[in-house]
Amino acid sequence: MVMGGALVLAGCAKEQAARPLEFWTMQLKPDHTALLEKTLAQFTRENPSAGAISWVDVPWADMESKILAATAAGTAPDVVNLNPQFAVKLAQRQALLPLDEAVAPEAQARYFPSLWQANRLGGITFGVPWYVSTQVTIYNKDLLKKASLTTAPRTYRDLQTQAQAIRRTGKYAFLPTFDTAQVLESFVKMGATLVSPEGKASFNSPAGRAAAQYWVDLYQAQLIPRESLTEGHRKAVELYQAGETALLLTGPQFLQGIQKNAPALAQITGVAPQITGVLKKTNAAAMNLVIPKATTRPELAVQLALFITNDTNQLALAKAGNLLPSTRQAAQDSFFTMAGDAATEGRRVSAQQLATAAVLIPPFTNLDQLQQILYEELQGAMLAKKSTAQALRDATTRWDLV
Amino acid sequence: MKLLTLKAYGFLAPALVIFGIVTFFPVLQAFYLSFTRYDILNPPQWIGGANFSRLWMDPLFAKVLGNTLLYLVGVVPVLVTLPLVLAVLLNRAVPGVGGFRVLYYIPVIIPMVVAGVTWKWVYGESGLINGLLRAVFNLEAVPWLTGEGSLFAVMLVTIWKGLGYYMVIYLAGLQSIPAQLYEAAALDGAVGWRKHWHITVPLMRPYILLVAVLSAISAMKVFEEVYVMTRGGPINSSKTIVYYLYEKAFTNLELGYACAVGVILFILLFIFSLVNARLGNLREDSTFNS
Repeated sequence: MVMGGALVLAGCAKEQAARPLEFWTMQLKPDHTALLEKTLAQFTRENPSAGAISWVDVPWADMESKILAATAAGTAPDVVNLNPQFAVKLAQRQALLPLDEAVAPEAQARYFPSLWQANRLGGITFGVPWYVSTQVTIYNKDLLKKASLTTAPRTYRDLQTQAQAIRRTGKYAFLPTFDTAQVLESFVKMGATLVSPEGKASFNSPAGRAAAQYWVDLYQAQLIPRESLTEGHRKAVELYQAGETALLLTGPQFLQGIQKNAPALAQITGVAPQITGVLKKTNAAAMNLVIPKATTRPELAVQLALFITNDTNQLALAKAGNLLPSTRQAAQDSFFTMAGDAATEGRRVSAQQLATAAVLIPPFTNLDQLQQILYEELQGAMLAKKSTAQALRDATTRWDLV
Repeated sequence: MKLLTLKAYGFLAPALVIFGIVTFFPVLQAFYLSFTRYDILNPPQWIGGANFSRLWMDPLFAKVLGNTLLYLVGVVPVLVTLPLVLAVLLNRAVPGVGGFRVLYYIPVIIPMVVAGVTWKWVYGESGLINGLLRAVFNLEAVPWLTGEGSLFAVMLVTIWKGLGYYMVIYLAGLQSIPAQLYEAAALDGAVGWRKHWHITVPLMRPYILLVAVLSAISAMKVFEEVYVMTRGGPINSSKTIVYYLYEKAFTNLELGYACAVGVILFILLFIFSLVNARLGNLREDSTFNS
C-alpha cells in the first residue's frame, strides 16, 4: 500500500512538472491562429522546459466569468490577456503576480512609459502592456457633405456644432457609448479630475459640470439617439455601418470590420484624429498580459509574457490586426506611416497619436463603480429627472460612500 | 425497514445524490455566503447579518424590488388569463387549428437572446413600431426601451414569449374535461361564455393555479429579457432583482451581498408559492363543499 501511495505521488509530481504553461487570449482566433501558434512554438523552442504551450482563446464577453471561475477554482492559467479595467479588479484583490521585480528595468523601458504606468495600482505593476489602440474619428464623407461639412470634428465643441448640422439631414452624428469609458474619458479631456489622490470624488468641479452639461445638452437637444441610454459600442458600430450615423469614435481596428461588412461604405469612409477637449489630450487603450498569482511556474510565465510582447512579435500581430504595438521600437516601423485605404489611414492616424497619447484614466480601486455611478446620475440629468448640478452632487455622495 | 422501501431508496439514490450536489449544496452554500464578505478570489469572511442590514438601507434594492413586484403584477394576470382564452379558442376541431397552435408556440422555442435582439429592433427609435406610428399618425418616436417605462416594454416581450407555453398547459387541461358536461349544460340552457364560466373555469382551477405559480416564479426571476434589451436601464428603471444580483456578483464581485439578495428572493418565492398553494386548496375545498 505504501509503495502504491508513493507511485501515485510520484505520478502526480511528474504530471505537475510536465504540466504545460497555459495561455489565455481574448478573441484572437481564428484571425490570428497561425501567427500565435507560430509565436508560441518559437517560445517553446527557445525555452524547452516550458513544454508545448496550451493556448486557450476565450470570447470577449466570457473572459471575465471564465477567469473568475478559474481563479476561484485554483485552475487559473499562467498568462492571461485582459483589459486594464478588468485586470485592476483582480489586482486590487491581490490575485495577480506583482511584476516590478520580476521584470528587469531594461525590459520595462522597452514599452511606452504611459502604457507601462497604466498597469500599476497602488505602486505595484500588475501587467505587461500588449497591443494598443488610440481612438480615431471614423467618418462618412457623404453624410458630412450632405450636412455641408468639409472636415470631421476635432474637438468636442466641433462635435456639438456638427451634430446639429448632421441632425438637420435626418441622421445622427454619432452614438456615445455608455458601456465603455468613452464618456468618462471625455470628462478628463475637458479638464476634469475624477478622483483626488485620497480617492475622494473631485469630478464635481466647474470642468466636470461643463463636461456633464455637454452630454445632457446633446441628449436633450436630440442630437444623439435615445438608444444612447441603453445601447453601447456594438450599436454604435451597427448604426455607422447602416449609414444611420455620420461618425464612429473608436479604434482603427474596427475599420477592417467595416471593410468586410459594408464595403461600399468603406469606400466613402475617412479617418480623422481623436476628438480632444480643452487639454488637447488623446487617450490610448491598451490590452495587457497578466500572470495570476496561482501560477506554479511564475518565472516561465513572466518570460512568456515578455516574449509575446517583444518588438518582433508585437509588430507581427500589429500588422495582422491593424493594431498598434506597446513597445517604442516596434512603433517606429514604416508600416505605421504608410498611406492607403481607410484601414491603412486609420492605422497611420492612430499611430501618429501614440507618441503623445496617454491612458487618461489610470487604474484605481473601484474604477468600474465610479463609471457606473457617474453614468447613472448623468443619465438621470439627461432624462431631466434632476439638474446636472444635482446629478453630480448625488454622484459625489454615492462615490464617497463606496 | 421493508425490502421494498430499501429498493425504492436504492433507485432514488443516484438522482438524489446528483440533486444534492448540483442543487441542495449550492443552495446551502448560498445561505452561508450571504453572511460573509466574499469576492470569489479570496476566502469568505464571516460578517454576520451585515449584508442584510445593508440591503435594508440600500435604495437601489428597494427600487429593484419595486420593479420586480411591478413586473409580477403586470405579467402574471395576463399570462394566467390570455393563454386560457387562446386555449379555449384553439380547443376546437376546426380545420387549420393545428397550424394556429404551432404559430402561438413558436415564440416559446425562439431563444431569448434572438427574441430580445429582434424586439429591440421593433422598439427602436427607427424601428417597426415607431416607423408605423410616424407613417400612419405622423407621431414622434416613442422611447419604448429608452424611457422610464422601459419595464413595460420588456413585460410585453415576456408575455409574447410565454403565451404559447401556458396555452399548451391549458389545452392539456381542457382536453381532460368531458364533452358531456358541455352537452348537459347546453341542454340546461347555458350558452356562450356562461358555459365556460360555470364549467371550464371551475374545472381548470388546478391548471390556473399551476400557471399562476409558474408564471409568478418566472416573473420574479426575470433576467434574460432585461439583460438583452435594456441592461436594467435607463437609470435602473428596468432593473429587476435577479439582474441586480448578477450585477453585484459578477460586475462588482460582491458575492456575499449578491447571495443575500438571492436569499431574500428565495424567501419571497417561498412565501408566494405557499400562499398560492393555500389559496388553491381553499378554492378546491369550497368547490367540493358547494
